[in-house]
Amino acid sequence: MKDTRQDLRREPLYFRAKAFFSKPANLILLFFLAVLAALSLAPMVTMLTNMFKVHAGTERKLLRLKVGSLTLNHFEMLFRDYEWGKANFWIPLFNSLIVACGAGLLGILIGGTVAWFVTRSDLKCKKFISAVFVFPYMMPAWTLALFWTNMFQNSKVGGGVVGMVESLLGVCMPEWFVFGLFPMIVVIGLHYSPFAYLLIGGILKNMDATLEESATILKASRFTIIRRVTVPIIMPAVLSTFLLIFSSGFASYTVPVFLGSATRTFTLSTKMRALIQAGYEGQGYIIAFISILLGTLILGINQYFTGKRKSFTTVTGKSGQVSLVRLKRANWPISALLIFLTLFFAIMPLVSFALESVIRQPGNYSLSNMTLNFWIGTEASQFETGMPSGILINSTMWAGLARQVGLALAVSMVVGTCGMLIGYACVRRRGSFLSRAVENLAFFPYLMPAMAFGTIYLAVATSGGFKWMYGSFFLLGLVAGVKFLPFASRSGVNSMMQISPEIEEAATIFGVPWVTRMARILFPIQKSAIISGYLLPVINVMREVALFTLLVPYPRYLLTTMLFSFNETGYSQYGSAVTLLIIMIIIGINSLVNKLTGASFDKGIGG
Amino acid sequence: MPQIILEHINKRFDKFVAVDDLNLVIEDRGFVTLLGPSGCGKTTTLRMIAGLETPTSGRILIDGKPVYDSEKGINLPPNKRDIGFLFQNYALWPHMTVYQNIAFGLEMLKWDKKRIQERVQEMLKLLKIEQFVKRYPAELSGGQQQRVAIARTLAPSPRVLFMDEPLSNLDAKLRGEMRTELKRLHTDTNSTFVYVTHDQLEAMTLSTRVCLMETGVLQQYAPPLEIYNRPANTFVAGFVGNPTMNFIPARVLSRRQNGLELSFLGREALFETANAGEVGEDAILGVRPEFLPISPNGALEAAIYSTLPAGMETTVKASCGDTMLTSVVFGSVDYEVDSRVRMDIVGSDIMLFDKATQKAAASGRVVFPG
Repeated sequence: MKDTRQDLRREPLYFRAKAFFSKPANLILLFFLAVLAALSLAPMVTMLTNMFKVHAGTERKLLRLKVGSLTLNHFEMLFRDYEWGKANFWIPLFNSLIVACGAGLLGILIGGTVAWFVTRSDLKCKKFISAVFVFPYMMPAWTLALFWTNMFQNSKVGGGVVGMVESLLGVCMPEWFVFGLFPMIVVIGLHYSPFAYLLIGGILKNMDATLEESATILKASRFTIIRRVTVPIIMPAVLSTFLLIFSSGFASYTVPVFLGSATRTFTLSTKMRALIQAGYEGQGYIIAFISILLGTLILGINQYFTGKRKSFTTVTGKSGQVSLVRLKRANWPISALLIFLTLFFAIMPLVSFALESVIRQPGNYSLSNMTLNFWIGTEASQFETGMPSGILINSTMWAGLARQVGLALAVSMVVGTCGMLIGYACVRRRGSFLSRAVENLAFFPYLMPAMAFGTIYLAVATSGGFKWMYGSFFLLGLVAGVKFLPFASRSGVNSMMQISPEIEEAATIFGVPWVTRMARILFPIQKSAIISGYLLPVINVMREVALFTLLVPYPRYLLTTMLFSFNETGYSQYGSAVTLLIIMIIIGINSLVNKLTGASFDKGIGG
Repeated sequence: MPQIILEHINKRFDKFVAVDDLNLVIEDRGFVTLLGPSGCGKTTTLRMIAGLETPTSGRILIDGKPVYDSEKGINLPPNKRDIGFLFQNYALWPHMTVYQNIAFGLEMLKWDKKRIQERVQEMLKLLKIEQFVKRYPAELSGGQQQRVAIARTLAPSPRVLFMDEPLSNLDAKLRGEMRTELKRLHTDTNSTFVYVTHDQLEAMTLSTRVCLMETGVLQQYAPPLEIYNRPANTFVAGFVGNPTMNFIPARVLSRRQNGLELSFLGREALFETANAGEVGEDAILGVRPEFLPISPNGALEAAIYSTLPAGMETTVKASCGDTMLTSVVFGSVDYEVDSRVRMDIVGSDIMLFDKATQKAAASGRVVFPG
C-alpha cells in the first residue's frame, strides 16, 4: 500500500536534477571532481605505465629494446639483482625509514617537552619561548640543513671547507655528526618540533583541567598524573603528530641532498632523482610509486588512530583554571636552557647566513676577510661563479625573484580560491559521495613526496601532446598548485566547519544570492582563516626547492633553484645570501599579512 | 492570510526515514508547535516548510499557493515563501553590529535607506534593545542576542514565522520571560507561528495546536489540552505531562453496557465509559498523577518510596505491589519512607490503552466496588 503511494509521488528525474543543480555547492563539487581527477589521477596513470616502459638513453642502450616497448626489466634490476638492489633500493629505503622515525621521535620529544613546560608549568619567559620556538617552522627545512653544515663542516670531512665551529673553537666534529643520517634526523626533527609543539600544546591547553585535578584529589602524585592521565589523553595526538612528521621526513628531499651528498648517503627520494638523472627512469618511477604507497599507508594509519580515538582529543573543558606546576629552583636553569636552544635554532641560522654571505674565504671570520661583494659588488668574475655581480644588483637574481614571487602570487590566488570553494562545498554537502570524493582527491597530492610528484609531471610534460608544457611557467604553476592544494582545501574545510549552516541560511531566507552570501557573510566571518589559506601557498612556493628543481627550464630560473645550483656548485656565499633573502621575504610576508588581518602562517598549520 | 498545508510529505536521507507521510494543516494565525524527542523529524519538517530542506516527495502549500510539489516539480526557494526563520543558535552574523544585522535583510529586499532606518528603530523598540544598537553579537548576553535575532527575523514583516527551539539556549528564568514575550509577539504581529521544541511545557503553554511526532510519524495533532487529557496513544500520554502519567497494567475481565470490568493492582473495578473502542484482554490504565490522590479511604494500598516536596506541590512515589505509582499532592507534605498510605483514582479523565497497539481505547472513570 505504502510503497505504491510513494512510487506515485516520486519526483520526476528532471526535477531532482533541477534541485541538484540549483545548489552552488553541487556545481562546485562537480567542477572540482572533473578537474582534480584529471590533474591528480591522470599523472598517476602516466607514472604507472612508465614503470613498465623502456625510455630513451641509458635504458634503451642497456636493454637493446625499442623506446616505449613494455618491459619488466626495471623491476628485475631493482629487486632481483642483489647488489644493485641493495645499493639503489634497500639501503636508501632503510635510511629513509631511520631518518623518518628518528625525526618523528625527536620532533615529539622536543616539541612535546616545550609544550608541556609552556602550558603546564610556571616557566619564565613563556611568551618569548613560544614566539621564537615556532620560528624554524616558518623557515624552509633546508635552511637548517645549510646552517648545520655552515656550523659544523670542517677540514677533516666532506669537501674540507672550514665551518664556524672549527674556525672559532678549533673543534673538528666527526663525520657522522656533520653529514649523514644523524644530522638529517636532527634537522628534520628540529624543523617539525614546532609542529608537534603547536598540536600537543593546543591539546594540553584545551584539556579539561578537572581531569588532572580529580586525579590530584585522589592523591595521585604529579608524575603519576602525567603518566596515567595526561599522556594517555594526548597520546592519539602524539601518534598522529609522529606519523605526520614521519611522512614529511620520509618524503624530504632537500635536507638529505644537503646533508647526504658529501658522504653519498642516499634516501629514497634522493635516490629516485639520482636514478632518473642517470637515465634509469623506469626504476625512478618504481621508487616514486613505492613512496606514494608508503605515504598512503601512513596516512591511513593516522586516520585509523585519530578516527578511532577521536573522543580523546576533542576533550575540551570550560575550566581555564590550570594549576601550574612549580618548577622551583629548576625554573631558571630550564628557562635559560630553552631560551638558549630556541635562540640557537631560530636566530643563529640568520646570523650564520649573514656571516657566510660576507666572507671571501670560507672559514675565516676575521674582519679583513669580509666583503659585501656577494651582495652588491662587481668583482665576481674572479670567483668564477658565473655571476657578473652581487645578488642585489644582479639581473639574474631579480628575474629569478620576480618569477618566484609571480609564481607564488598566481598559485596562491588560484589555490586559495579553490581551497575556499572546495571547503565550502564539501562542508555544505558533507556526507555525500561527491563531497567525500572531492575532499579525498584534493588531499591526494599530499600523499606524494614532492620529488615523486615533480617526477610524474615531468613524465607527463615530456610525453605525448603535453610537450609544449615542458619548462614553462605554466607547468610550474600547475604542479605547485596541485601540490599545495591539500593545505588550502584543508584550511578551507576547517574554516567553513566553524560557520554553522544557519549563519548562511539566515541570509538565504532574505533572498541573498550565493555570491553576496559568500562575499558579505562567509568571507568576512572567516577572514583570517581564509587569508591564511591564501598565505600558505605563497610561503610554500617561496620556499619550495624539490618540486621545482626537476621542472625549471634552467637552474637559475627561480630563486630557490638558483640557490640549489649555487650550493651544488660550491658558491656558498651566494647561496647564503639568497637563503637569507628568502627567509627575510617569507618572514616579511607573514608579518605583513599578520599585521593586516591577524592571520598567521602557524595558525593555518596542522589542520 | 496564510494557511499552511502539508500533504503526504516524506523525507528520506539515504535509507533513513526522517519524516513519514506527514499530513498537516496549520491554520492562519495559529501558533503551532512541532513537539517530540530529538531525532523525531520536527526540525526537518520545519526546514522543509521553510524551504531550507527539500522533501523527498509530497506537496506543501502556503496561502493556497504550492511552494513545493514533487509531482509538478515546484520548489520555491525560501526567500520566495515570505517567511521568517528564527534559529536555535540565533545565527547572528558576528561581523555585523546589531543595527547591521537587522538592516541587512531589508537591504537585500531593496528597501530605501530611510525606510530601513525607521523599521530597524521600530524593531529595536519593540524588543527593548535600543541601547545595544552599535554592539556586536559577541558583546551581548544570550537573552539580548535572542532579541536581536527575533528583531532581525521580524523586520521584513514575514507572514509566517518559523522558530527552531529558540529558547533552548537560555537559562530557566530568561526562558520563562521570553515565553511570555513570544506569546505576546504572536498577538502583536498578527502572523502565523510554527515552533519546534522538545520541551512539552513550552508546547503546552504557548501553542494553539500541538503536533506531536515520533520517529518521523505524526502521533497526534490537537490543541494542548486535548493532547493532555485525551492522548491518542501511550507515547503521547507519556511524553506530555510532568510528572509522567502512571501506566498501570490491567486485564479486561468483561464488557458491560456502561464500561469494562478491569482487574489491576490486585483489585477489580469498573471502568465507566461511554466510548469504549477496541481493546484486547491486556490493557493499560493511564492515570495522571493528579488523579491519584492520597486519601485515608482510598481503594489502593501502597508503601511510600520517596517524597519530593517542591513548595507548591509535592510529588509522592509509592509502590503498590510491583508497580511504582506517582501522585502529586497540593502543598508541602512529607511522608516517612516505607510508611503505608492509601490512594484513590478519581476524575473522569482516566485513559485506557490497548496493550498490543498502545492506542487509546477509551476515557472514563474508575469505580471501585463497594
